[in-house]
Amino acid sequence: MFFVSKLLGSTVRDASDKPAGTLQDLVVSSAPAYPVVTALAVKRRGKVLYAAWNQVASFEESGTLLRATAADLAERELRPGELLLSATFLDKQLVDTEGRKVIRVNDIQLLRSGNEVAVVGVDVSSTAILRRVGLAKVGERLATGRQKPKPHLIDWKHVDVEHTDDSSVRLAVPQTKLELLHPADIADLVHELSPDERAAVLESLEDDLAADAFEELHPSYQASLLLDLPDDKAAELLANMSPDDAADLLADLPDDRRQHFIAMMKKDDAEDLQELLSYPEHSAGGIMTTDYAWARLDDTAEHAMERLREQAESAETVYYIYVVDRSDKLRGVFSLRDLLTTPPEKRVRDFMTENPVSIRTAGTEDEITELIAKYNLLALPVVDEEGEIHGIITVDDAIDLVLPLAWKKRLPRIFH
Amino acid sequence: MAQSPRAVGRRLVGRIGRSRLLIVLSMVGPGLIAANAGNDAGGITTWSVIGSRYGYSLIWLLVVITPVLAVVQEMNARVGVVTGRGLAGLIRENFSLRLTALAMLATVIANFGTTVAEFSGVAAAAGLFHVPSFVAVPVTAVAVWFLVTRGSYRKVERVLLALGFVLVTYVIAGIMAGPDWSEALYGATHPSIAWDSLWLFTVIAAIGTTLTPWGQFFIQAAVVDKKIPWKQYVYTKYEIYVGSVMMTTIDFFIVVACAATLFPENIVVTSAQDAAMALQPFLGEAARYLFGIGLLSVSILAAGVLPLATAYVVCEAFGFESGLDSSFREAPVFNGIITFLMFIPAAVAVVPGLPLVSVILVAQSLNGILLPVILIFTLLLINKPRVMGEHVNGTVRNVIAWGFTGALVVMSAFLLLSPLFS
Repeated sequence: MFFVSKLLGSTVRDASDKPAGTLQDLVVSSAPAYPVVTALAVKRRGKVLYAAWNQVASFEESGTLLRATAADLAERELRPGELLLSATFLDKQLVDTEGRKVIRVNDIQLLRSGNEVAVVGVDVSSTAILRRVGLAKVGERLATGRQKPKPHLIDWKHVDVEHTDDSSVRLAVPQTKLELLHPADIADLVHELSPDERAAVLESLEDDLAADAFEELHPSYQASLLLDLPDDKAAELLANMSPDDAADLLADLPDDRRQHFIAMMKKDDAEDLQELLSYPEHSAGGIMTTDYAWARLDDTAEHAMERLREQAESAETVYYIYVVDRSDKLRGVFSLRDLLTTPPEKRVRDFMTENPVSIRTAGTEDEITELIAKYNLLALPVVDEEGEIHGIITVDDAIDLVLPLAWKKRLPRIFH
Repeated sequence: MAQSPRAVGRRLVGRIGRSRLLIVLSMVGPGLIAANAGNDAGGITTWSVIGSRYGYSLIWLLVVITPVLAVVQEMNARVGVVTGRGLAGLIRENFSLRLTALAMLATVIANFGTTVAEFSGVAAAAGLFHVPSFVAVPVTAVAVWFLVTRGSYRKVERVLLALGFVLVTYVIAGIMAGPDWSEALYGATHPSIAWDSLWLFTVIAAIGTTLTPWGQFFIQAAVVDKKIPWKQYVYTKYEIYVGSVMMTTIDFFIVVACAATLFPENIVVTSAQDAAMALQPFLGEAARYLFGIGLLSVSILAAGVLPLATAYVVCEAFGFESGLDSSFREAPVFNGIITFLMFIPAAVAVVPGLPLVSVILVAQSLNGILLPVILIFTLLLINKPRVMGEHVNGTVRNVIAWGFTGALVVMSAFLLLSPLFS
């Protein structure tokens, strides 16, 4: 096992043991899980020349010996699928999908297997920094006897190279691996990136996943990020978000952009959003979502079940079904459990709970959390002065109200 | 559940009216904040000492520093807008790890010194209220540490920024002190150069308090975070120019106020009490307390920002985990730097009998001596087409920035070598 940083700059000798140049970089194939060194980039008299791997006789930290003569080294273009290892990765940022964070490549680890040399890991430790600065001894002295400084290695298979743009400082995001993560974890990763990279990562995700991850982002990033995305992607994101979150986001956009996005939406979605936007941000109306499950007074249990099947996909929660009359007045509520344990022909008005606990659209955050806590609710319906239902507030949104600290702690990278 | 459009329209007003205001406020950004943050304990002290010791004769320094400040800040803002990345990350990716380590070392040392200066400012301000420093400084350090690591610093920050505006009283105080405007004009247009070590020390301190390594990191990070598109960059540019002029205008009035009140009496500022006297013509007996509040606010503000900024910069360069939501175990380096840079400088500032004003001045000139390190990295970066594309530096800016950097290096070398000659 050896490190790239120790190899770079070492002497390359030709078949007659004369110095042919210094090692500038390693050419690796990007295809396999652990890339294999396919050629060496050798700096000779100010030029970068290449030696194919089959021209290498021995490859050690102390130096490289070639089978060929210096005259055999030639300039060439990189082939498709080939990368310069240190120029592409060393000192750059990568996403570690296993540890779920953004790391910086302090060194790259190689492993000899048979005749080949493969890239096996990334060293992200401070030991690697001290070693490269020439202070390895200091590191050893600082660490106490029992705790020898160890490299902190991340397996190469967790840092895919697919999306690496060879010359730029662009981040390598292994998209397929990202998609296996929970949206909240993706959001955490995205927080650590620079604004340009945030948009790039979101754009690469599938619509549903992008929307879920997007909702988990810090509100202060959402608006600027949305404006960075292509219009269709942004509209798709908004449509896939729950209406309460989408409304919060729209409220933060400039007028013309907001109108533009609303105009791009389906009529129903647009009307719901317009309504949500009309309530003050911290009132029950501003917090609620308009996607809830509902039934009519005269429905039978069987009929209510059919309705629920249709509504289930979009409704924020299916555990409570709200009963409304012809003028959308809230008359009662029943739970999914009630529905499952009731004979199919029984009418909703006969098994629902009347006078459900509800809150006015102008209700405050404290009132919401108090009601939900006191009555052990999973969701709280929001009604206007006439008793007409406008939406619900689910318990997870209520938790965000009492635990705002969790958000506040995620200050942006900037330090003010 | 649809509503009549008119009902919706009526209700729309409340929420959206406010959010538009927020957008406007969020545009008032990096340039002005950076300018405001520059007038900290170090700035007030340095310019007070200059006014009281040299009268009007060093005002030309402000005339020279203002355009340099504007040019240098604009450069880092431009790098931020074009690359969308922080300065520390760019240094790491474009220079060797050794050079990155050098840049970080310079930044940490400069910020350590500045934080000592801020806690000295807290100690000095507490003295005006007859609170002993061994009470005021530890209490402040613990409180700021909690606020910063618990992430609720931003609210406090606004209050402190607002209180810091007390310093605008210098403008009125400077006018009311009845300064000799013709002498002030003469001092602004006739550079007086005394090539002795005290003069060199003072000039470098004045530069180091106006342009700081952390200020350069700060403005670039602020621009990156605001995600200003290139099309709108022109506004940011002008905002930086306005902010630079605003900052040095306040410095100008600090000098004038001190030159008109203290200089004729031969009082060189050696304590906060002396510095507060410059505000007396305007504020009378209240001068002491208003000055104390202003000094305390700007000191606490910077004492919170500096350790946090340093931790972010170092972690960005070396790839350590950072963020206020990570625990000490998850992000040991990040939290370690914040804690170290908060409490060790605080411990220095409570050393009994410490000459606070001198400590503050030394910290400013330390900043001035280390500033070229960051300036050179910025200049090298901004002239790389690979990094900046078509937005590399123009000739005029290069001449100003390189010339200034060179002059600063020469002056620093003379200052550091001066003990050998005397």
